[in-house]
Amino acid sequence: MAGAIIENMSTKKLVIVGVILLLFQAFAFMVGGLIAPSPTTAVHYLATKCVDITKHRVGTKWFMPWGPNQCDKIQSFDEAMAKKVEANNIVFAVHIPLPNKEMSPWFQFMLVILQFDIAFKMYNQIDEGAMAMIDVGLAYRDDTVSEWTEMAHSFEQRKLNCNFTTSKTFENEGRYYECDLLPFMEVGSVAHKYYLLNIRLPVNERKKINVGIGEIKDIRLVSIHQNGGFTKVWFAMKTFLTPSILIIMIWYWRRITLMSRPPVLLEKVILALGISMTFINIPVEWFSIGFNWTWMLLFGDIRQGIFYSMLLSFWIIFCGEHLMDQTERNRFSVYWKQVGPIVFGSFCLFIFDMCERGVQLTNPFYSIWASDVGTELAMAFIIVAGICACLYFLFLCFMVFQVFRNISGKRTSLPAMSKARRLHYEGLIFRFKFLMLVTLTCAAMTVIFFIISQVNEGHWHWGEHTVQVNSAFFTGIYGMWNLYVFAIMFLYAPSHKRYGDGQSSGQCITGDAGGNSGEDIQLTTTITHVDGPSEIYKMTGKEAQE
Amino acid sequence: MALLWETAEDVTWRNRGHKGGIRHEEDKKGGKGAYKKPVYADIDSGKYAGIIPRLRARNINQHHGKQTGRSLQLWRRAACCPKTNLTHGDGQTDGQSDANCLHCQSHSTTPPPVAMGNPPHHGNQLASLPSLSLSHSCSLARLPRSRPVSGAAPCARLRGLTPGQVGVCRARGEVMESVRKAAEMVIEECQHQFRNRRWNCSTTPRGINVFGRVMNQGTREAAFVHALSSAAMAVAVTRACTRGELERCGCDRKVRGVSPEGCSDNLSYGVAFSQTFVDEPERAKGLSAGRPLMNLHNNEAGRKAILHNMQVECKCHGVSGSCELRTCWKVMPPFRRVGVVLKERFDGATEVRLTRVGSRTALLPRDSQVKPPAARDLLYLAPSPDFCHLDPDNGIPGTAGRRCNGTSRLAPDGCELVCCGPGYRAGRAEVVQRCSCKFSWCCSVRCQQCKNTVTIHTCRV
Repeated sequence: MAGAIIENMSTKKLVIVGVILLLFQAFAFMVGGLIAPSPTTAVHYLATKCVDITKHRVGTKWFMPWGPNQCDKIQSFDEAMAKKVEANNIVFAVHIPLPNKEMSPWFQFMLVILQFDIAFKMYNQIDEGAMAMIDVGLAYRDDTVSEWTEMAHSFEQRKLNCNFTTSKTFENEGRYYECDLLPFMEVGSVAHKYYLLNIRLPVNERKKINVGIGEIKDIRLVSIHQNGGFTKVWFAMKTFLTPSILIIMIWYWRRITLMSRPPVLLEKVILALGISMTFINIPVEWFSIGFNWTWMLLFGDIRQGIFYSMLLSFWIIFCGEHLMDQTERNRFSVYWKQVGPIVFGSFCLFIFDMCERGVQLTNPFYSIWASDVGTELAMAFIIVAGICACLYFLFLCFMVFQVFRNISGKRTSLPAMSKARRLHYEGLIFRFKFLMLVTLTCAAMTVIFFIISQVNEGHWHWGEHTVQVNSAFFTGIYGMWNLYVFAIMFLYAPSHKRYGDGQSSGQCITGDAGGNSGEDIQLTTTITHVDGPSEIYKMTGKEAQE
Repeated sequence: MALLWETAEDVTWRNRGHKGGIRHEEDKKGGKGAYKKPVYADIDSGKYAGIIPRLRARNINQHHGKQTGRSLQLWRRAACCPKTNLTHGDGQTDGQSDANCLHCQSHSTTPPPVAMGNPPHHGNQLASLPSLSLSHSCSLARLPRSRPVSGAAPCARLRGLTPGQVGVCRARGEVMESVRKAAEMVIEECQHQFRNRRWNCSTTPRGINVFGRVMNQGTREAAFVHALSSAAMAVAVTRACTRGELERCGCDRKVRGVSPEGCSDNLSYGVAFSQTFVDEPERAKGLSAGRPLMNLHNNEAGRKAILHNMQVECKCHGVSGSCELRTCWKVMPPFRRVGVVLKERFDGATEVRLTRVGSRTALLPRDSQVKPPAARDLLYLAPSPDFCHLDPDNGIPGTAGRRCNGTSRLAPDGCELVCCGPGYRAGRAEVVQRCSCKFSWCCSVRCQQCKNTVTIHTCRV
């Protein structure tokens, strides 16, 4: 076996493979852009103000904002004042979803954002660093008649970050503060049809609870969930991609095991990349339709994290193994300096995610951003992860720079070589650069599409068609990295062309016999060693010794 | 949408408080030192804030006379809910009517604010509004929910509705509560925006138009009220939708503007409903006359004031909360903001006249050097009266007795501008203010009371 497929493939075949992959890529974008709806939907809710008239609470009473058995409502707090209702007797009730609709497991997750409408009053302003203490209960039921079952109940604190943009005068009384969105709730699976939120803002002047939070006029909630249609397209895509990557992975590993030599580091890393891609592909989410697995969200995060860190490690090792210098690498420990930041950074993010989404498994209202210590901790984790990412990219850029410097060094010595040898080198460099280019293109595409999806409103109108840019971004980028991994495993699998029949590289090297003596000795030794590491490493290793 | 106002069967004098003077419950109680007893106050109208807003609120109401009898009648009317069974004895209630009734009852069981001598501004407003449309909502409440009523419907009995509006009322009786809410919002917002002007959006008891006949003359003020009303209607319906009070929001195909293949969001529904309900009477009058064209344009400008001021909010919720996954949504501006925008448009409104352009007619600026108005601008056909003198026939209260700002010159609330000819006089008054108040976020204010002497300027009669 003489090197990887990419080296032995003719340019024509390479182009064909490239075109096929591009077609799949376009298809992936089109699936998202034309078939799938937008990935998520935000639904607004305005809390209904209910009056809790019960004096002694026995068990939990749930307040329905509408429908049969609805609570005693008040329209505004002026009315509450007239009826001598106190703040502690007011319950904000929100039913998710709106009437005549129901939730479905296809929504995958539901997160809810809270916003207070606080009117400015000269003598009742929001204190500096005011905290709102929220007593919140979440209940569910699966049909419209049965009793509500409590799902979670919690006392939560949220910091009110509000500012008043106009001048604080009597003239401007009644205008609303502009408050930051408050993260409120996050559930990792939507297993029930109806949810009910009951929110109270208990006042205790002695303990300074909910004092100085201004004059609350309304509570608005926004619930965000994945679209059922998008989930289906996403699942279909995963179900299709899993066997594709799995098959190419098995094929790839079988090729490597067929060789007499043990696999080199880069081959192992490519396999690991394939495994992590398969891990992310396996559509375990299908189970979330039938089971109430709230940890699915966290699990998805972990899977993505593993893939990202694997991909980053792959790039480092890929560059390192193509670094045409003297050092003998082929060991993972050589790369600890570069891989270390990746591992440490992703570990930080993992801890952060566990602190946020991990705790949310037990208390869906938990938010690490709610408390000062939590915010600092979270920021610390994110900053450390950011530093690690910067460090990593510095290393990576430096390595890429080194590779290109070595390549250009090789370029200068090319004319001195014999024709066959020169062609071979040119081919090698071209293909290496080709792969670099593909990687860069993929990364650039990801960044560009990310920016587009951030800037854009979410969909473009194209004649009669509506293109869902965000969905296209997700399916397209997901498909792209799958194709990338696929292509790497395919092109970097050891070639089956033997010297006997292929002869290309063998001939070109032996044809060079009259040239550089020391180098040739080196070359012949490698060739006799039939199942050695793939050609490119031999070449680079050899060049290094020049 | 003068027609929203014309739906009112009954309108009221806004003022049934004391003539001119400044009296507060504290005054009545003698003002003997600071009260230790907690006082429940209307924290919305800002009275606790002291004399200034209180007087400002007061000065809107210049009408005097036989108010008390009127208000009693009103409160009796407010008790029309099935629950109280005063006027309608059928007692057939469902959830919706219960909800409405709670509302009605809350007013009917509360003594009219004037009896407490308490909140002049807000109290009066709440008192007048039930008369405006509670009669509707209460009769509407007796409709089966969301089911079209054929034949003898209470909707037909609502005076001032055009046949098209009656149709909407029949098909979606539940929406009428939002119509009532919109009416409340318009009066409150209009009075807030014009609190310092000669025309201060005061309501009159005569005729079927709440703001008086000024509204029928194609004036700048009419333009503002139309725009504000159509905006309020869109906002009120959208809010009711997000509260879950309306059942078919976003999916109702009977309302224009909703795409047939899918449900649109609640705001589109609100805007579409506003178009259907508010514009309908104007369309019925025909599009060749000047007034309907003006009203339609201003209605649309009101809705544009919402749509052009939407805020976008976003939430990132990708891996570890990154912005890989981000969801954005649009938020309606607070209604106060809509009011401010429309007030600016009011100040820059364009006077137009009906001009024939080719085969159709259009409203073009009277002054040919002014550029044609955009969709968001307000248009008016006739110049406004000066609003100086009492003119009960047109519903103009005049500025006599109005409070004004004696210190600000040439400002809109300055006495020179507000008081027209006769000038103004300054007087000193002792007022009891609330001080060192403790608030909770809702419903209770505990204050001590302090006496202050202030100078008050009022317009001469």
